[in-house]
Amino acid sequence: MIKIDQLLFSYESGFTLNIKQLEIKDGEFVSIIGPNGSGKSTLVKLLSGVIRSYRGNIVVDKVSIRDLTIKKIAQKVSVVPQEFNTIYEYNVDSIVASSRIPFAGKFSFSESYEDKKAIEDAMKKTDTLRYKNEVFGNLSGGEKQRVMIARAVAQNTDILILDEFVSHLDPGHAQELLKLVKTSNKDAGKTIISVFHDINTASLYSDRIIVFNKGLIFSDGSPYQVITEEMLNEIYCLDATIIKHPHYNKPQVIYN
Amino acid sequence: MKFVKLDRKGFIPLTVFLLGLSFLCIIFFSSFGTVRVPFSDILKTFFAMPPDKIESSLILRLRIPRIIGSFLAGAVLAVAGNSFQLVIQNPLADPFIIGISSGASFGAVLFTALTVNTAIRIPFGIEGSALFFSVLTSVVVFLLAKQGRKIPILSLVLSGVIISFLLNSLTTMMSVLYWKNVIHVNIWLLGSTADFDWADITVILLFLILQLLIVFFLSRKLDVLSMNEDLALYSGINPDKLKLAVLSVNIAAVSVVVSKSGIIGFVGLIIPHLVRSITGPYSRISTFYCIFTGGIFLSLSDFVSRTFFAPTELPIGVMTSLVGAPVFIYIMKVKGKKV
Repeated sequence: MIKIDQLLFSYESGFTLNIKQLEIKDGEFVSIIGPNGSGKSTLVKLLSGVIRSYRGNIVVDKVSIRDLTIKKIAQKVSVVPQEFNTIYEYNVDSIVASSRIPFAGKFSFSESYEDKKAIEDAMKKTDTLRYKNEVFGNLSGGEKQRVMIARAVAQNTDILILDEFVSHLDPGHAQELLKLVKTSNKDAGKTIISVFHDINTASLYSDRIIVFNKGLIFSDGSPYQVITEEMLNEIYCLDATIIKHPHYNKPQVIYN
Repeated sequence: MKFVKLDRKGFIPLTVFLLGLSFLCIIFFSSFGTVRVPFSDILKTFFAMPPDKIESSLILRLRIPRIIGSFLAGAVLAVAGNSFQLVIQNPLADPFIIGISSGASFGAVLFTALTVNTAIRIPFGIEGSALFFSVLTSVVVFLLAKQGRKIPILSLVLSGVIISFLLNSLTTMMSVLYWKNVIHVNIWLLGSTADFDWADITVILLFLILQLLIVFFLSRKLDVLSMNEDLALYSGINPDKLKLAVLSVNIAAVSVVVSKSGIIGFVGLIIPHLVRSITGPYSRISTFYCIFTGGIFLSLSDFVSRTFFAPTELPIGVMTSLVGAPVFIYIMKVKGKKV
């Protein structure tokens, strides 16, 4: 469980993220939406331990993450970034293997049997085993993100954070990966916190949506509670109509 | 972990081959010079037997430390270059971007200017002064680059460039003021392995071992850091601690080599490139091959610089740059960004 209390963080540029209260329960699939510069990615950085100088409290499983080392945070939270690239020619399996370092000793020389098993299982589940020995940089955008999901699955943490992880993919690849994430939420009970640009995707895949605007929580609730024509107009300046998805009881946005 | 083009089966034969090749190079290079020494005498010396010709032992006593010293210095520079490139995640990085070379030149010129023109005596000689200033420069560059608890790579490189410019202009200023006295320092700066003795070799070997140990123990984390700094964080690694550990050991090692031999460029730049294009970036394996490739390259450069232009000697830094620059351009143009 994640509990945020009186969180305050400012960049030198002046942007401030301010969250009075926020609670995310175990096993929830929470989407975070909001216009550019509303604080979505900042929240990801705070939750994953990239930003460590903030006021207030972020508590994960009853422990404040301020008291946790980077290694301890990585044992609880895994991250799929928006886009990932390497300069050097590393193989796909070594990228996935990096996920096991939080569970290794201080000076470790190679992966343990458990590590190897976790890596292989994750790669099987995500169907990435077939390009195991390929150079990561030579993969397509969709394949790369698939590998990054395999990596997060191999890390096997209770909380999985995804930062606009399908924004650069075509709809087909995006849907495939979204289904993969949904499965790990439903079957393995992982807590998913995912930042989305696409409101319809957020509505379709998650039970709860948090809308950020100017560093504050604008609204928080089920897709129907949150996605309203007034909200779209007010924070996105978007002229749109809300309709019901023909197959599911979820709101979808149609541009006017 | 799988290597890109080399697997574990190829590891032992290749290691034996490289060790053998290194030994053969050392024997071969020892034979030539202003005076030719027969191979049989060299082999005898290596196995602690008296050589056939009396003068052989005298010549070899001077020549062998120089060749082994060049080999080790080359290894230190190549391993340091590789570590820097991986840590900084830039294939163009080199220990000299932190300002080691400008610090060493400044130290050497300052020492000469002071001792010749004033009564000030600096302990430990020109080498000590070069070593002191190259380490000091790196520390200053690190402090300048530090932002809070982080050491961003861009600011590290920028501070390195700025401090280098500052020190180089001070060096030039002193050279202009006292040109008569410091002109010989320029030759020293261009690099020479001629003065290596067994004591130097011991010190260099010690630092090489340190460099190897740090890569050996931290290789898994180092690999992840070289993939991407954010990925290191997501993998539970503190990138700044790791950077500091790896860079400081390598800076110390390179500073020691520079203080003994002057500035020998390009070894730390091209050798790791070549090695990684065969082994892949994996730090443990690429470091291992850098030892031999760097060693053979620098002892070969030393051999060429003292034989081809005999009885004059070309500074070894000139040699490595003459070979290094075209090779580097070739890599850049033909192989593109894939190094």
